[in-house]
Amino acid sequence: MPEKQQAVKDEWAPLLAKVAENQDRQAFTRLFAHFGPKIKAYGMSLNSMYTSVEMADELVQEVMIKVWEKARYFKPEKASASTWIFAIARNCRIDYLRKMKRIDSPLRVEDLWPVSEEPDPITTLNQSRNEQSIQSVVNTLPREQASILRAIYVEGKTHSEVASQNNLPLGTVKSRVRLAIEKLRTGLPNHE
Amino acid sequence: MNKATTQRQHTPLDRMADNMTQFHPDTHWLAEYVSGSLPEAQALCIATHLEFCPQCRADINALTEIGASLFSATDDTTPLNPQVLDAVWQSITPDNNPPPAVAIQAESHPTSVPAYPDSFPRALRKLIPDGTSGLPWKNIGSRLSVAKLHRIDAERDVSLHRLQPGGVVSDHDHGGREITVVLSGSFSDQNGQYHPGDFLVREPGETHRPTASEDNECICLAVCDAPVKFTGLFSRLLNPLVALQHRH
Repeated sequence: MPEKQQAVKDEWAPLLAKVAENQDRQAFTRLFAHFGPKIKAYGMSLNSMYTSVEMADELVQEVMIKVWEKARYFKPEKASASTWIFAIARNCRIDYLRKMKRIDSPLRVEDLWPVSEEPDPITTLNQSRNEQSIQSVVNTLPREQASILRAIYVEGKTHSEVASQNNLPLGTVKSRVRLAIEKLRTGLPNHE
Repeated sequence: MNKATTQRQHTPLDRMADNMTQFHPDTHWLAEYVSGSLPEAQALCIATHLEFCPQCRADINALTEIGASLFSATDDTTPLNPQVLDAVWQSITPDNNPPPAVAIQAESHPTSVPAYPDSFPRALRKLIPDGTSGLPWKNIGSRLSVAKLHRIDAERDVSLHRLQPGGVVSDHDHGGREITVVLSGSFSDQNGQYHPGDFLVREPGETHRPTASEDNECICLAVCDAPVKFTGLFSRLLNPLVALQHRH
């Protein structure tokens, strides 16, 4: 990996490796201390009648159990630790809503939102550096774009919900999201 | 052209790497998929398209990284209930070890090999455990048959459409938004020709008249918000059948 020197290290990936290889409880406790509060905040942000502190605590518990159980499926060359954990948290949140709404489906959430798949050659890039560059671009986004992006991703709102709750035309919301995503993507090292 | 907003085309460079799939979900579909707000039946369409389309998989990865950085940047000052970590320890303690890696998909139905078209998407297999031939196909006209699949969200029908080679479906207006993903074969309408993986959205009020190619039957996944209304010659004949299809 010639680019290694410039890469920002993903400090959490080695901890996941320790959990996978040695069931290292100390490493796991550090992951819990870092990601637990983020998962809780992510749960509390959900725009739903089912959101509650208890639900958010339950989400932390479920996500962290999955992190322990599935650490061996984590592929640092495919995703950074936080991207992997975000995907797990997203799936647990979908699953929670599904249970609340009593959706009866033969499909597991992972059938529709697969998390640990083989990496595509085309997308194997330096993930941790990506995340750093995205982060720095997020901070430069105009406020309105950043808040819509947050509503979509963190609060789990649809574009239509964002539009009606902010009295904006749907087309405006879609184009703001698209603009924000384009800006963030151009921050990625292998963009075009 | 209105439809262009829902059918994103990748740049010519992208298409060289991926010369089959030409019609892709627009960014807002992918963003709602990644953030998890997309209803499950529509998520099934995206997951199916992704299996055919490496370029959209790359887009999904980028969108997931964006989500992760917003997730990482959340205001995480909410105190954690200390009992949560205890509960985690308790539930992972039984033998202290992560369970061994399980072979993916040791699913039921070992007795018969289901008949799927080539490269049948994984996301769909569980909804069609006995293969496409085991489905309750109902003929709608002479060249089109429809098989309803298990509903996976409350507001949408999920079905497979099978169009015989050269078959034409009469002009119809979709009463609700319909997503179509081509699974095998190909068909065309006034807007273009569609191949496996192509993702199409028809808004209510748009009529079209799909025609299958002459050489092969065409099978599509279709997810529809509300019953389809036929506006063509046979509308009175066909509508009761379609209504039947959509009754639940």
